[in-house]
Amino acid sequence: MSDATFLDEAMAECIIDRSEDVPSDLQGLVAVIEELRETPVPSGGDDVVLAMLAARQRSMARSRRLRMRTQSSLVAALAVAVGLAAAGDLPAVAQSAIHALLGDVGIHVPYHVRHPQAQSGGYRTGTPAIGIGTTGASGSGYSQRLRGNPAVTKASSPALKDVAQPPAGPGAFFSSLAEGPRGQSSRSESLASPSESGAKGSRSSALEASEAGLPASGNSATAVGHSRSQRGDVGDQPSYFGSTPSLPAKGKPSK
Amino acid sequence: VCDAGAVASGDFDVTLAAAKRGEAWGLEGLYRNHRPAVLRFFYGQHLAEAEDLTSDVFVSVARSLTKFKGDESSFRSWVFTIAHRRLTDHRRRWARRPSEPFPPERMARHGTQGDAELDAMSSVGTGRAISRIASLPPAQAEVLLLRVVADLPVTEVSRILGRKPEAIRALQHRALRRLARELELEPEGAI
Repeated sequence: MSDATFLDEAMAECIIDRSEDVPSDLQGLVAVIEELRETPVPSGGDDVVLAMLAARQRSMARSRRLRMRTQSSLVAALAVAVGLAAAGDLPAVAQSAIHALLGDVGIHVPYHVRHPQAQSGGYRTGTPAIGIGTTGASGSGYSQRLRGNPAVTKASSPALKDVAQPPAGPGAFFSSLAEGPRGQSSRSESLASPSESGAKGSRSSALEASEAGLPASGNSATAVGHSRSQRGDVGDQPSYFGSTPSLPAKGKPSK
Repeated sequence: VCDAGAVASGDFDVTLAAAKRGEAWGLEGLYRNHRPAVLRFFYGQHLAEAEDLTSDVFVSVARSLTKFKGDESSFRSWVFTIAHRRLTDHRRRWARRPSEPFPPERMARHGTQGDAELDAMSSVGTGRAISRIASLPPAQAEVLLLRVVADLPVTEVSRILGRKPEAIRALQHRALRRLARELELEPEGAI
């Protein structure tokens, strides 16, 4: 077999690479290789395959756009959440969670600080919108005035109930740790508003009074408010609004 | 809008970028440029499912096109890497569940006469070069097809098949020697 001995690896490379140096004895082999390169193929079914590819490409582009939107929405939501957490405006659970989460990576956001305004739902329930405010029947004027009075705020808010009861759950435990011992000035107290600081003092005196079975001295408004809230008659006209006009009698115009 | 000029001039980068953006003409350009070689590759393995496998390859190409980066030779190498994997999958599947494909000749008896596609299939099926390559051992046939039909260098073929370049050179050498021997045994003027 003369061809087989003549055809070494280098010559095989020359045949495949279309080199000019192929001897005439191997031209038959070169013709087979060239025919292999140019073998005609059927063209049927191209339209179906192309339609399938186009549909696939479209759906992929759609899902890519959807993924981009989802990612950007998540990033925006995260940014908003971190911003709110930095401002301390998130609800207690979320604020605590983000405080713990970001604290692990060295970013400080404030721990949850109770704001009386955040728990304003209690002011509206059962409070008639009469007499005091000038904003009509919505009751907002009355509620705002109530919020301005620290004694009433603490008396009618659930925060006072929290003081009277032992802290429940890990959130309350950590909250009490953050606030420090009662009666001392802690960081959260220094952040709180003056009215809230005053309310805390009156809150502790109310607690002592209730434990001793005596009315709290020096802050009768708190004691009154507390007892009213315990009785559940917070909707009554509070007595500590000395200058508050009395309710007009039905059918009798007030002057 | 089909930028026919870009496809016709073979501006691969423009076509690829359009295909990545999801434009139909870009994908069509890539398909029409590379489909014949892929189809020859599968026909050279003597596979009746050559067209189905070719479609599978281009569906896979379309699926992963956004991740591809490179020039035209890299793209060709990538396409034939996918083709090789499809071929391996097909062989494995066939080994587990062998099936006998319905031959087109028998189908022609049941259908209309003079179908252009069947004629084309028949002409491919009886192509001498394809028949000769199909008679080689599978490893030799695949190396020769990747070198000749896909026009890939030895290094790329070795990467696709996961063999050393020396092994690829040895396989192509053996394949050509075998073809030369068969040609020698044939009567004069057969080619």
